[in-house]
Amino acid sequence: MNELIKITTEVIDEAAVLKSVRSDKAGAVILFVGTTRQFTDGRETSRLFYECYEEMAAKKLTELHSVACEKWPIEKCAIVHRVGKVELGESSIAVAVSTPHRIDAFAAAQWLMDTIKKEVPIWKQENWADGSEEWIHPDGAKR
Amino acid sequence: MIVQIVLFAAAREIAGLSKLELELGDASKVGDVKQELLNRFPELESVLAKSSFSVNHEFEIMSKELKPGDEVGVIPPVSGG
Repeated sequence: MNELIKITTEVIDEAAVLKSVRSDKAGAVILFVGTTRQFTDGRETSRLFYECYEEMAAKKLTELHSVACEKWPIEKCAIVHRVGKVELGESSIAVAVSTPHRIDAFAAAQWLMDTIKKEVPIWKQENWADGSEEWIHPDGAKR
Repeated sequence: MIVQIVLFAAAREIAGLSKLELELGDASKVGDVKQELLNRFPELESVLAKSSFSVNHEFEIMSKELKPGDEVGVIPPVSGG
């Protein structure tokens, strides 16, 4: 697997992810970080728990990385997804893209996030503040 | 033939296991796995109705034919990110 693509149980070091895609050929670097949100539709979350189909998720992330590199003039692209417990305010995902000009970096990062959320076998479980747990399986997400 | 089934998230919790072996007839398809899972775990019906399936780490359609030893994944709607 590409060294810039990772699925990890460790805390994500966002600064390291950002640094990993810097390049003298790039004039733009975008870092997107997804974090555990305290309230969803008025309901309070204590933490999230993520599960993945590791071999398939790694393969899909690698494929999406390749597609993004075909669609945009990407210098470097990093994707790090955390699994297991992700506490309030901690990061579950970091996507970083560097390109010569900003328009492509914004577009590539947005496409990667949108597509990861639809196509990569990783699941989020809400651990609500009232002690209940709920797997999030969005309707209409069936392929 | 024997195929390996792996289950995730709500499907795993409802079935109470993360993997199992299924013995299927020759020329069985992904759809036959779905039916056999429903026979064994009727309570999986609602999650299977909205799940996709993978064979050896690629999404596949119900009519995809299986080979002995294939790994079939039950993929409920994903929610990563």
